[in-house]
Amino acid sequence: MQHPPDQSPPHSFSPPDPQQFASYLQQHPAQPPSPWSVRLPLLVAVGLIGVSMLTEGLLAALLLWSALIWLFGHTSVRARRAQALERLVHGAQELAMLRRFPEALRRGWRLLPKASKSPHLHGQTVAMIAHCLDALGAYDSAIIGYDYLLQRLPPGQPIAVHIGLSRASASLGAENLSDADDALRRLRGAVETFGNSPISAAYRMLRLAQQVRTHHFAEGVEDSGGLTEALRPLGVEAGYGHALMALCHYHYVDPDADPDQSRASAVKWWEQATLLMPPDALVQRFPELSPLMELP
Amino acid sequence: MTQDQDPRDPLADPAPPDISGPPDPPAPDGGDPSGDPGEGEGHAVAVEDDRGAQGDAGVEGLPPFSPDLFFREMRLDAWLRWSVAGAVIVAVGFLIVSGLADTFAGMVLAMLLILGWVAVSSISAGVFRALPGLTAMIGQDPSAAESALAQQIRRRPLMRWVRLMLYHRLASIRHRQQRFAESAAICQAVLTQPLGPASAQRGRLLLMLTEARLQCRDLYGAYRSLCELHHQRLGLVESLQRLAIQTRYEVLAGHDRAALSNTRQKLLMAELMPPVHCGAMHAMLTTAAARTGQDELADWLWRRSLLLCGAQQLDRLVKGAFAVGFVGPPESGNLPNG
Repeated sequence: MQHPPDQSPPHSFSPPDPQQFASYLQQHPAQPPSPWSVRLPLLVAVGLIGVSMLTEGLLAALLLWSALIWLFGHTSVRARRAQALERLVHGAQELAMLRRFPEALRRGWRLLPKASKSPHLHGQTVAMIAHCLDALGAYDSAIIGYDYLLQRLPPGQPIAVHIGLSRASASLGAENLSDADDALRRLRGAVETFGNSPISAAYRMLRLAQQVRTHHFAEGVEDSGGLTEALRPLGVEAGYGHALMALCHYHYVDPDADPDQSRASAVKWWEQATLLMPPDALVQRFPELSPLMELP
Repeated sequence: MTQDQDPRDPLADPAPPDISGPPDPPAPDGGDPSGDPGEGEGHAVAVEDDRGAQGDAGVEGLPPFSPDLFFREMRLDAWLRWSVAGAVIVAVGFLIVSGLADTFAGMVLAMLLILGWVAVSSISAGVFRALPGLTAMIGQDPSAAESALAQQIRRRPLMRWVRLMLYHRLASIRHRQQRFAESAAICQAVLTQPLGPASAQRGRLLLMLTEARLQCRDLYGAYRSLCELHHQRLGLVESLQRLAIQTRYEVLAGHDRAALSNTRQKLLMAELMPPVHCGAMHAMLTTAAARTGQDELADWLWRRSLLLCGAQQLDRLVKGAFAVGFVGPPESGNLPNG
């Protein structure tokens, strides 16, 4: 039994589970219109014109004009419907950008069946739903959406790399560490071609998150060179990376170094992180950051 | 994301009252803290200045914009379109009156008329199809885009809104080439025309016009277009652009308290902008906070902008790109890497 998220009252909202999302995608896959349905209006018009040529009198003129009116009317109605659908999808994406994830998810869920006739809009809607699920902590469901898209996108394209990174991030969130490691290894070559971009910044942050999740704090500290510059394309979300580096310094024990120095570095990185993002938001995304809350 | 919980948030200080409507107009003396003369007050003068400054930059593409030529082109298009429509009506009337309408010859003539009408419309359709390619080209190579635009703009007859969209692209090219007076003149001319099916572009045109006027230090013009922008229904991206432009206007005009009103909400919106724009927004608010003596806020904003943009990028912004007469927090020594 399937319960789309829009049927739940707002106070008991829960994102769809992986099975629900997978079966929903199976029910509403992208179905580009067949070439015949695209040509149908033209064929109808040509047919009417042909009949009008074989007819005489007022009926001929009527058939001719009705063929033209049908052709223009049908094309214009179809174009208007496509524009209206695009506006709706765009509206849902704006909600996701404003971090109103449950609302965006509900809208995206409702729009998916309508968007199935336009592969482009369908892909955008699935990506938006997966992003919302990821942001709401439903990582396994988000992975279903990302996998669906990755199976259909040409590899190496910026959008495919971006979705691949989102998938790796969701795997880390779901504690599928080997899965995340495989994904990051596969993406390394592709990411290197993007230079100093949000994609390479996201990759750097995911590597750091992976080092934290696997307790390789020393590796994290060793890789700290140029981190601020590398994370800059992420905007305020670079705060997560600064916080993860603070945690690496917090847990790192260098037998040759002064322990106060590690603590001072942790304080410095945590200060930068909380300058960009509120501490609560940092801990909500990475609960392992909670010991840093006691830092000055 | 919310910042309500952040105990170190200097924005927790009581903020000045929110001004939800458009900003106040500048003082009669222009209110420009940089003291620049209002060179953009008359667009004709500004266009002349631009031509002089750019020399023969438009020789390979399009000549400098002339409002007279623009309105003449619009009239010529309208005349050609109505002539074709008139010819069709006269021909149909003739077919009916002469009794040829229900004969084979009449049918062929009617088909030829329809084909002629379709051929005339296909010119606009072809240009319309080329618009997305032009837009992409503007981002990569404005000179090549100008050459391609020159070819399209010479075609006629075009539907009014299609020609207006071509001029919109021309304004974008001039904006990228930093020929702001010309860009403002084009936007202003396009906005005087009914945009029809392209009316969704009105907000973008107004945003470009406002920014161009700010670059020309035409504060009163910028104020008027900002007022108009507040009556437009904008998408999220356009709303973010309006926020950045309005903040810049307020800081330029010395309305620092207005710039700082509702700072928390403004920063949440700014965080949705690309990092460099977000950093620039922080730097502008730093100026407003420093000038109003809110040193703690100025320092917090300044440190954030440094993290978002980096010292080099911020230096470039402060020295030229947004030119608001930057004032940094006291301890920065007004230097971006301070």
